[in-house]
Formats: sequence, C-alpha cells, structure tokens
Amino acid sequence: MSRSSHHCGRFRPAALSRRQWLRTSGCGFGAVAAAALLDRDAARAGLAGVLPALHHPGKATSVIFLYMDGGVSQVDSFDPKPALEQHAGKDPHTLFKVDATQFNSIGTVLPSLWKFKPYGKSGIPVSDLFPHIGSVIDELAVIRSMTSEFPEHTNANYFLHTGSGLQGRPSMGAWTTYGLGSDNEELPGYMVINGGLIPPGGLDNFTNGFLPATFQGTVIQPNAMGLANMKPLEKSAEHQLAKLDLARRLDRRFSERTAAGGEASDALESAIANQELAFRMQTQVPGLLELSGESAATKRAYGLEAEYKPTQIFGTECLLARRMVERGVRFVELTCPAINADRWDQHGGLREGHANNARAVDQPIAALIRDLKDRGMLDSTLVVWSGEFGRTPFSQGSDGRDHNPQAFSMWMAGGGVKGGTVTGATDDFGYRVVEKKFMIHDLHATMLHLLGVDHTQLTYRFSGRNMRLTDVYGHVIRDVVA
Amino acid sequence: MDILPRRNRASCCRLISVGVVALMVPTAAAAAEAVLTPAVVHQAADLEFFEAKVRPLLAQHCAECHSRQAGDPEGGLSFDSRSDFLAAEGVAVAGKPDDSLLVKVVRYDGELQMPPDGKLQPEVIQTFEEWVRRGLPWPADRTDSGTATTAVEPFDIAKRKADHWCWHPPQVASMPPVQHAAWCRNDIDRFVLARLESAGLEPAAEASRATLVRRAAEILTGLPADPADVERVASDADSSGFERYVDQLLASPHYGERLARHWLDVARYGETRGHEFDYPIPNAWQYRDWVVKAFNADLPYDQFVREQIAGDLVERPRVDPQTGANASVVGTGFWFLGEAVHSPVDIAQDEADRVDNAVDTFGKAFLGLALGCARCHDHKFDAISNEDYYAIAGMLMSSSYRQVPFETVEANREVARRLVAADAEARDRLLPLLAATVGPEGDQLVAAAADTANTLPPDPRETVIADYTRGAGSTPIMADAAAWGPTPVPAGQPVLLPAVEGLPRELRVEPVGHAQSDAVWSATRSKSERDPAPLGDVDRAGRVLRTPKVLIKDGVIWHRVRGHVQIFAVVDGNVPLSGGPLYGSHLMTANTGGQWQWIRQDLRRDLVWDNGHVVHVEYAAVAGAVAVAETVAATEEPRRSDPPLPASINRRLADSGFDWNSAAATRAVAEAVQLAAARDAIVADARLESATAPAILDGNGIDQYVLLKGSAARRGELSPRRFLEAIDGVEQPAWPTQSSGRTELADRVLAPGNPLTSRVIVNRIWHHLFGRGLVPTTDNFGKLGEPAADPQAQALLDTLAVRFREEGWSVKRLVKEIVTSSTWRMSTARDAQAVERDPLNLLLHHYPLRRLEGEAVRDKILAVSGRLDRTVGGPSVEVYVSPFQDGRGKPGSGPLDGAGRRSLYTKIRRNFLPSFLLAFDMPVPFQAMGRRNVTNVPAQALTLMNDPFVTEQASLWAKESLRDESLPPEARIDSMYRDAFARVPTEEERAAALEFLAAQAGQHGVILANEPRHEATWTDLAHALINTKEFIFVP
Repeated sequence: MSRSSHHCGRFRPAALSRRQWLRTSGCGFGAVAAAALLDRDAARAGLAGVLPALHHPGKATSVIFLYMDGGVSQVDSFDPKPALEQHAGKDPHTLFKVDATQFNSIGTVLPSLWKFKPYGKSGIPVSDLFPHIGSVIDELAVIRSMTSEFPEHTNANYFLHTGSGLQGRPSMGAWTTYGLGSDNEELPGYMVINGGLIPPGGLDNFTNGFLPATFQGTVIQPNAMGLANMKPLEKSAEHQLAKLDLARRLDRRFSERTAAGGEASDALESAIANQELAFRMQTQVPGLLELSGESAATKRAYGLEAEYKPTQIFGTECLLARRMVERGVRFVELTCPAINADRWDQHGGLREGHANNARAVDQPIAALIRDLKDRGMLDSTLVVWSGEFGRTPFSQGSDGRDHNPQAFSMWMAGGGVKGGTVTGATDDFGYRVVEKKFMIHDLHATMLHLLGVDHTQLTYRFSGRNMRLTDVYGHVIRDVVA
Repeated sequence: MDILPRRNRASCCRLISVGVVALMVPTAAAAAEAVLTPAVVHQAADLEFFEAKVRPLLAQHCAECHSRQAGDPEGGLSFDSRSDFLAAEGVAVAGKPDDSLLVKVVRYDGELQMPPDGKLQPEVIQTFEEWVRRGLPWPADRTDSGTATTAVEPFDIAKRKADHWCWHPPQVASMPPVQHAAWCRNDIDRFVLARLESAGLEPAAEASRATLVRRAAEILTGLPADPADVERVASDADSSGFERYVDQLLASPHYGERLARHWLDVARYGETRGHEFDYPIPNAWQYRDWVVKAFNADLPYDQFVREQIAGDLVERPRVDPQTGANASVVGTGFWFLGEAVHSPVDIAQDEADRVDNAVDTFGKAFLGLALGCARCHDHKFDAISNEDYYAIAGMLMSSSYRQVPFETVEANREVARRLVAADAEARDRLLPLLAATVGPEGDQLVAAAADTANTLPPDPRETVIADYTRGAGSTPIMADAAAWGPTPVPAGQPVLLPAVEGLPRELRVEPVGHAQSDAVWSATRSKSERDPAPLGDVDRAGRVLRTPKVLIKDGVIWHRVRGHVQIFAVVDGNVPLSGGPLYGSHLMTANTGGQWQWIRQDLRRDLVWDNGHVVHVEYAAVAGAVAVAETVAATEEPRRSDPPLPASINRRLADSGFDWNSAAATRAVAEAVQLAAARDAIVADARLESATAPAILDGNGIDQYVLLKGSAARRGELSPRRFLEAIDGVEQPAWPTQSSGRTELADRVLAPGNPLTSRVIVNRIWHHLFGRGLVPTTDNFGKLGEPAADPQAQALLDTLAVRFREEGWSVKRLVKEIVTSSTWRMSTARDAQAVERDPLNLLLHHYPLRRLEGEAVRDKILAVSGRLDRTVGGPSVEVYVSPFQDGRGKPGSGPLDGAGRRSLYTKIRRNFLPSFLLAFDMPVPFQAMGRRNVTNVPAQALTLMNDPFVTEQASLWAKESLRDESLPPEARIDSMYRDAFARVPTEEERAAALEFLAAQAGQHGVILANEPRHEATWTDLAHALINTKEFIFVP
C-alpha cells in the first residue's frame, strides 16, 4: 500500500479539531502538555484519535472481534461439565434455582452433545465442535466466567457492544477508534464485515452513538460490492475528479468570502478535507476487497475453497480482517454468515445448528490466528471471540438450549494475551459462575488495557457527563494479560 | 450517634420495610439496646472468626454495593463497620440470626434476596448466621469510630437548589448600557453588544440582503429561498423589507415543518418500536402532523406542552371547526414514541424501562432536567430525588396506551351522552307504565330501579377490579372514546324485546347493572393502521372499556360479560407488539350469545404470580351490543345474587299468563316503541369512520414504589404522585385518585413559579437560530449541563423567558424578534482578533457559518431539481432501503427519491433509519436530543458524490435549467446559482463553470458550442454545484 500515491499533496487527515479534543476529551490541557513531553503521538499517522499518548504500554494495536451472534453454548464448547451426564433428564429445578428465561419452556438437564478432548501443550479441553480452534489453543486465553445482564438478544447485543443494554450508545469499536484513531488515512478506523446476519438491534450495535460520526462502524460486505456510495457513477476517475476540482475551486472562494478577510471556518475547511479523503477511499476500498493477490495456500487455509458456503463466507471475512489490520484499521468486527437464516441461537435443533455454525467459523478462525502469527502480527492484534451470552445446561423443548446470561465462555488471543490459559469457573452445571465472575465491562476494560488505554480515562463529554465505554464499572481481567 | 446521614437513614428504613414488616416488631428493642451499648468486648476467637471468615465474605459479596468506600451505598446501607449494621435497624440483631434481615435475605427467604445475582453457597449462609449468633464480633478499628461517615455528602435539596442557577426564577434584567446604541434594533442587541463592547470587540458587519434572505429561508423553513423573493427583498429600498419577508416565511406552512423536525428530535420521534423486529407504532405520523400544525398555527407554547402531557384531559379540547376532530388528544402520542420490546421476559422490569424513557424524555423536553438519572438513586448532582422520579413515573403507570379515533370522539361523545339521557327518560316513562301492568310490586320496582347494590358482603377471597353493577356508585367508566357512555346502565332498565312475527312485542328489565357499548359502536371502522395482530384482530379503536389498575395476587380473573367481546388483561402495562412467544393468555375473546356469563381467564401459565402483578382489563366490543358487569380476581368462580326486584319483575313479564294485549301493556309497549325510535334517531348520528392516532388513556391514580437501583424486583417505599420537590416543596396538594394526575402535572410544569419551562424553550429556539443555545446543553439545565457563557447571556435568556411567558407564549413572535435583530443579521466574517479572543464565538461577534442538517440538504436538492412535492402532512413515505442495509424486520424499500416529499415525511423506522440523513447526523431516536451532532465525515462527501439519489436529482436539475431553449449558457448558470445560492455568480465563477462545461462535454465526446444543451454535461455541472460547500453551508 502506498500512502504517497495521492495525485496532489493537498490531502490531509480529517480528524477532530484540536479544539474539539480539548472540549470533549477527559484529558484536558494537562494531558496534551504531557503528550508533548512524551512525544508519543507523533508516532501515530493517519486519522488521529483523541488520546495524545497511551496511558501505559500496550502490545495490541488492533482488534479483531469475532462476534458469535446468538450465543454459543458454553457446555458444548469450552466449558466441559461431566456432571451433566449424571443428572441427564432431571428437572433442573430440583438441582438449582432456575431464573426466568426468554421462552420459559424449561426442559430437563441436557449433557453436551459433543465430546471434549485436551489440546496443545496446555491441554485445555475443547469440544469436537472446534477441532481447528483446538489446534491453536495455546494462543488462547479462555474465560469461562463471563456474564451478561440481559437474557434476550437485542439488549444483550447492545450491552456486549456498547456496555449499555439500551440503543444508541457508542460501540466499543467507536470508542477504540475515538481513543486511538486509525493508522490508515484512507480507510475508516472501525470496520464491520457483514457475514450476512446483522445481529438483533441492527446497525446500532456498531454506532458511534454520541461520539462524532467519524467513529461509527463502516459496514462492508465480504464481496465485490463492499460499501455504500463507494463506487463512483462516473465513467472515469478523471470525469469525477473534474467535478470535484470545480467544487474545490468554488469552495476556496466560498471560504474566503464567508471569512471576509478573517479566519476560515474550521467546519468548512474540515468538510473540504473530508471530500478529499472520500475520494481516496474510493480507490482504497476496492483494493482492500481484491483478494487475487493472496496465495492459493492462504485461500485454502482460510476455507475459501471449502465445500460449505458459510465457511467460504466466514473465511473471506477472516482474510479481509487480516488485510484491514495490515492496512492499519483499528477495530474490525466480523458477524456470522446466515445459516438457514439463523446463527448460534439454537432454541431447537442444537446438534445440527451448532455443528453448522462451528463448521462455518472453526477453520477460518484457526487460519486467521496462524496467519497472523506467521506474519508476526499476532502480538499486535487482539483477537476476541464471544457471543452476547451463553446457553442453558438444560434443554428447551427436547433438543434446544435457551439463553443463559448467568455464565458463558469466551476467549481472547494475541495482542498481549496470556495464551494457553483458562480463567474463571462455573458451577457443576455450567449454569452460574462460581469463580471470578466477570461482566462485559470487564471485557471492555481488558480490551482497552491491552491497547494501552486506561478505560477510566477514555471519556467523552456528553449530556453533561464524562461518558465511558465502561460507564462506572469495569476491572481489567489481569489473569489474561501476559 | 448519627452514623448515617439523615437521608440514608430514611433509605434504611425504606429498605427494611420491604415485605418484612413483621420482622421489625420483635427486633426493634434489641436493636435499640445494641446501639445504646456499643462497647461490646468480643472474645479473641470470635474476632479471629470474623477476620478469617466474615470480613472476606462481606468484601466479596456485599461491598460492591454496600460500602461507603465504593461510594453511594445501595439503599443507604453500608457494611463498613459494626456500627453500620447496628445503626440500620433490624439488619443484624446480635445473637438472633432468625430476626436478622441480613440472614433472611441471604437465605433467599422472601421478596428481598441478596446478593441479587445468585444465592450463596449453604456454608457461606451458615457463616453469616454464625456471625450474627456470636453477637457480630468486629474488632474496633478506625473505620468503626463513626467518623468515617462524612465521606458521603448528604443529598440536600435546599442546598442544591440554592447552589444552582436553574432553580432560581428568571427575572427581567435591566438593559445594559452600550456605546453604539444605534447598532441595536431591539433588546437582544443591547445584551449582545454590551458583552462585545466589554470584551473590546465589535459585531461583524451586517450581511447582504440577499444573504439574509437565503439564511432566513433555510433556517426558518429548511428550504432554499425563492429566487423571486431574493430579488424583490434585496432590491426593496424600504428598511422593513426584511421584516416583511420574515413574516412571509413565518406564514409559510414550511415553517411548521421545519420547527416540527427540531421538536421531533426532542420527542425521540420514531414510527417503529426498534428492538428485534422493529414493529410499527401505528399512526405515529399523526403526532408528527400535530406538531407541524401546532407550530404553523402558533399554538401558544403552554398549550403545546399541556396537550402533549395531558391533551386527553383538557377541559375544552381544541376541535377542528370543519371536521369536528379533537386536535388536543393527538399531542399525547408524545408518551408512546419510544422503543418497546415484543416479548420481555420480565414485564414489570420492561414497564419500568419504558416508563423510564418516557419520564426521561418528559424531563429533558419540557424542563431541561435529566430526571432519568434519579431512577436508581437521588440525582448525583441535581436537586432531584429518587422519590421525585417515582412520583412522576406513577402518573405514567396510572395511564395506558390506546389508539384514539380522534376525528369522531367528540361528536360521538355527544351521541353517547344523548343515549344515556334517552335511557334515563325511558326509565322515567316506562317504569310507571310497567308498574301498572304488574301490580303492587311494580311500584317498588320504580323506587328500586336505581338501587342495584350487590347485597352480598365482599368475599375476602376476591379482589374486585371493576364493578359496574352499582349505578351511580359503580366504578367510573374509563374508555378510549365515547362507546361506553358516561355512566353505566342500572338494573331495572326497561328493554324492548325484538319483534316476533304475529305476536305482540314484549318488555323486560335489565337484571343487573352494567357498562354497556351499544351495538352501533361495534360498527365503527378505523381508517388507519391498526395495532398489530393479535390485539389488532379486532378494530379496537373507540370500542375499549378500561378498568382501574389493581394489584392482584393469583393470576386468575373472572369477567361477567354479555355479548361478543375481546378481553385483554394488561399486566404491568404490557401491550403485545405482536403474537408471542409469551403472554398468549393475556388476550382472549368471548361470545356469550346474549346471556350473562362469568368468563374465566387464567394468567398463571405465562407468569410467576408469587408477588402479584398490577393489572387492568380492556374490553373491546367485537360485534353487537356488549355489556360488562364485573371484573374480579379470584381463583373460584364468584357467586352473586342479582337484585331481587328486577328478577322477580322479569319472571312476571316472561310468564305465559302475562297479558301483553292488556291496555296497560299495550300502552307501555307503544311508548317503548316510540322511545326506541327516538333512540334510533340518536344512534343514526353516530359517526362510524375515523382516523386514529396513538394516545394516552387516563386511569385511576396509583402511586409507585421506589424501585431500588431501578430494578422492578426490588421495591422500596411508596412515592406518592406529586411534582418535583425542588420546585413545589414536599407538601403538595394530594394528587387525584380518580385520574393519573397528568393535568396537575401540566399545571405544575406551566405554573409561573416553575423556573425552567419558558427558559428551556426560549433557549431551544435560540439554539436553532444560532446553532448554539445561550445554555449550550439544550436538554440539560442541571449542574452537569454547560451553563450560559456569562451573566449577560444568562440575563438575556432570563429576560426573553419572562417576556415569552408574559406575552402569551408565542413562538413565532420570539422567532421574529431574534431573526430581525442586528445580532442575527451579522455576516459570517471572522475577524482574526475576535476569533483569537473568543474562538468559540460565545459572544457572537459574527454569525456562525453552519452546515445544513441532513433533512435540509436533501430537501434543498429536491427543491433545486424541481422534484420537491410541497404537500404538507399525511402518511409517511416508506424509507428507501439500500442493498447495504440489512437486519431483521427489513421493510420493502420505498422510492429512491422519497416520492419527492420533504425528509420530514420519510418513515422513521428505528432499525432502518434513512441512510442519507444518518450520514448527516440525524440522531438515533432513543432519547430527547435537542442538540444534534454536527460532524464532518467522508460518508457525507461520499453520499453527495455517489449516492444515486443525488445524481438522479442532478440530472433533473439539469433538465429543468435546459427547459427554456432560448437562453445562453451564462443565463442558465446564473439561474442555477440563484436556485442554489440565492445569488448570481461572480465573473470568475461564471467563467469557471463555462470552462468546466466545455471540458466535460469533451469527456462526453461532444462539443459544447455545437450542443449547448447537452444534458449529461449540464448534469455534471449540477452535480458539481451540489458538491460545493456553499450548497450545504448557510452563510
């Protein structure tokens, strides 16, 4: 990628103005002065973030969030519970206090439908759903004690993404980009690759909320179409450029005239600069989506040639994620492909549904982690795998599992994470957390920590409050930090 | 020893009163004793036990919420010291685990269960028991000295009120002295100039007339100025030419559209519910049109506020003189524009969340207060208590949702009133005649007709939800419109039986009093969208009878009804947005075939009823006449004996020996037939077809419990309905019990003593006209908002606010005053020195250059292209959904150009917001947002560069400018400039355009001189002009 290929030198990054930083960020003048002393912000090119300097050294510079929409069953994936076998078929009410669930059709204790076996040097057990992920287990820090506050998708999705169950709050990708900016001035800092299913709650899972719109997730599709309004309708680049040149010429006059001999308006100048960035994105984004330069071996590893179409889709998403991170995109989120119009949400048909979903994501995810490692990018790329909640250890109907926010498993890899570890524990049934209970805010605090950001110090003044991704909560999960 | 601050003490009591009242009696003495003898000496082994076992448990399971060190302890209870336990009466009674609330709650023994996220292991519970049994051993340490408690600042309303400007009533300030008084056109200018002069700055020169015309048109109507107006006003030598143009704009219907869009941001206006499937809010657009009309009619702002809060309750609603439609009630749609969940697992919590959104929006919209912050605790900074929040929440929980047939409700109310009068007349005239036919008992009947009391004593196993059998003493009739009349029908009401061929007609009397919907009301039709099925399977609007809300315990309800009726048990205010998966039992229909029957409704399969739920019932007539006598919660079928007289009379009348051909009977029947005909004539006046709108329906007043930490599962103390303590004190006249009290709420919001309401709206208007409010945080005047920049700005706001109120709350008048000021007429010139001194332009040394909102950008594109359809109001145009938008509940796409309608009329689907507008910062409608983000992102440029809508419109604009064949290119360019920029181009600009046209023609392979009207070439120019900043920035 060449950053000097612009047709003239007029282009400059669009960012928050310095004044906006000072007004809205929590750091104020003192922090800016400190930044000048530390001279760390100078290292950051591209779209600038609000933080003049990292709060502490962080290994990760980018995040890839593998969003397991719908909720993977913990007792069928990363949290083996042999006790379920003994109690199979019993009424769970006789064993423990059962909370209300979405559908309240509470069946009997249902043991895992998959066998677990230990993988890697760490010997961490993984179910047969994820043999490929098992093969890279020593890179993973598995957390078995994550919880959510919401038993249904939409609020839980908002909660996972924004730290609030309500619609309209900024997503973690927006916060991250707001804090750290992007290392590529030709691409948005927060990109979402839409595998085919926008999660319940819609695009507001990726919103900038009250943060400036620069930080909203740009949703692209893992195919040639890519992004809305990215494709010029003119016959040639020159044709379009001629229009923009005229516009720019007229804009200069307008700027002078409205300033009337005084200073030009920030807003106006910034809008002019953005038009130039937009023009550049038109060429950058198609290049990003063009996979013909990838080797056959890479494509095969990611599953682009897999028989199963959803594996191809998710493989493409994973490969695009790597390409985005290579290009300096700060935060990439992947959503699940549509598998029979559904994702991990198996209220019924657990065996087939979970197997198909695993089939779609298992190989591509393992390939992504290996590829990142082979390219020396894993240390600086934090990979996070999580759903919005887990599933109940008892059945819903005969062959499904309902939502379980009381406990679920997730994992992180790369980016300064201590691989080959397991943190936290659930009770004998995998229903509730009994050790090291974490909440979504802790996950967010940890992600930011690994990026070198203190979650309590990344703030945005809104509605008279210094807002945070973690609100007034959140503790870094030290166990997973290398 | 005053361990806890006063307020936290109160909270402790509140906590303890939850469901464990009995506990307090035996323990009070013990606790008092313990407090009086704090110098207990504990054995070393006990202390060791505490340190080893108990302290870690307190830290692990309790401290997160119950520690002063962690800030604001839950319910005011902190467990940082032994004294904390003892001071909180009954929480831990030394030596008596079974009497200690602490033990009870960790055992999950009752309503209050701790820790809330899961029961502790049995051995942990035993440890707590053991600790209490041993007498709460705790070593004396510094934190136990009683001095560590000062960390928490007590919540003191009086102090907070005194400390913050927004609670102090606004006063008219004296005019500040200025040097260049000649600059000032009105008082606004005096304040602004005084500020500038004291800072040593000068106001920017006045903008040109043409610029002012463009600015005024785009800011006041959101549409570009008509070039003819620009020319006329610019060349008008009269100094009042601009004022007259402002009047013209204020009289334009597009002014109301513009102001309405601003208000819709505040009202978090949406037409769907968001959440997973984005179900519709049927007919929400009626509220949008209500707002447009209100601004266009310059409805006084106090009335505008009142009708949104309580337009259903205003004594004399505004009635459209032509159509008879009730214009006031539609404003109450305000309350229901938020999000909603289709199948919430916890409906009580769901109700609390919906009410939270409504209370929060109410507070921000009208008062500029973040009331939502006081949902879980006293506001951290403002003079708003936790009780204040629930006092207002109670008014909403006392009300419910409906679709109101607003076009016919007033006319039909009159019909219903006449029917009741006719029925009374029928009683008066027929009962004596009937009496004559049945002998001595008949005389009693006349006397007893109104005496319909159910004589059985109340059954303790029953909870009566509604009883319509008691004549004047019945449950008051609450209904969504007129169908159920103003009063119930008493027992003994004469009834003319249908004619049977060849037989004389007969009469009977009603055996039991009841609420009644005449058959005509089952023939009503709504012209509008209905609520989604299954609720909307019946065309309910106008047919609903609503019982009071009552807390019931067992989940079985009996309905004594007659006829074909939809029965909807509304539990915790939950209205289904669709069918299932939960709460199917809440909705049923019954058809009793003209007989009285008790219908059983079992709600137990959908919910746990251990702690009861608040329920009201809505009956909607499906077909024919429908009657409801009683609604009772009971596990067994209620037993009733009806009043004996009507029954006995009916037995006589039905007896085969009764002579219907007797003179007396013939006379009675003849009279009845005549009365029935008169009644039919009244019924014929009923208006059957109406549009409907979402609106609020009043109910009986119920007070709310404070919900601890906002959780519906954790009830605190009752907080009676009232207005904010900081404004009206604690002692307020009792709120009505027969009504939610929203009328009283509106009264308090608009009372002269309320320091907020007029300031908030004046500031909003200022914000819209200058791009920044005098108080920049338009929705938050509290401590966390940003105050006015200086005392002069505050004085200006206060002066305008007082005058606004005193001069009749006219928004148009305020707008005109601001827009015609010298301040508003300044140019955008940015003097370097002034910018250096005041970079944010807080003092207004120039008029700020502003980007148009997305709606105005899009509308302007349509206006210049000639595609704009200027129709005002009506149903929304389906949103255009691009291939890049996806998700559940995805609608079919609307037209790319939105049918040419203004952006205001694009359907606001929460999960599919218009992508063009979103790129330009249209807010996601989740809470009041009076101040939008104004961002600059590449997506905006990409939209104007590549959105097919824009290129399509550019092409239409080109066609429009090529229409007149005779014009030279220069004239066409001039015309496009006039359309878009309200000016003609400079020589240089004209030359640049001509040069561009020639070059682009070359790109298209033509020579401009040969084909001067080549459309694609002119489309390129149009597209380039749309992409200039001058197109989207208002100078």
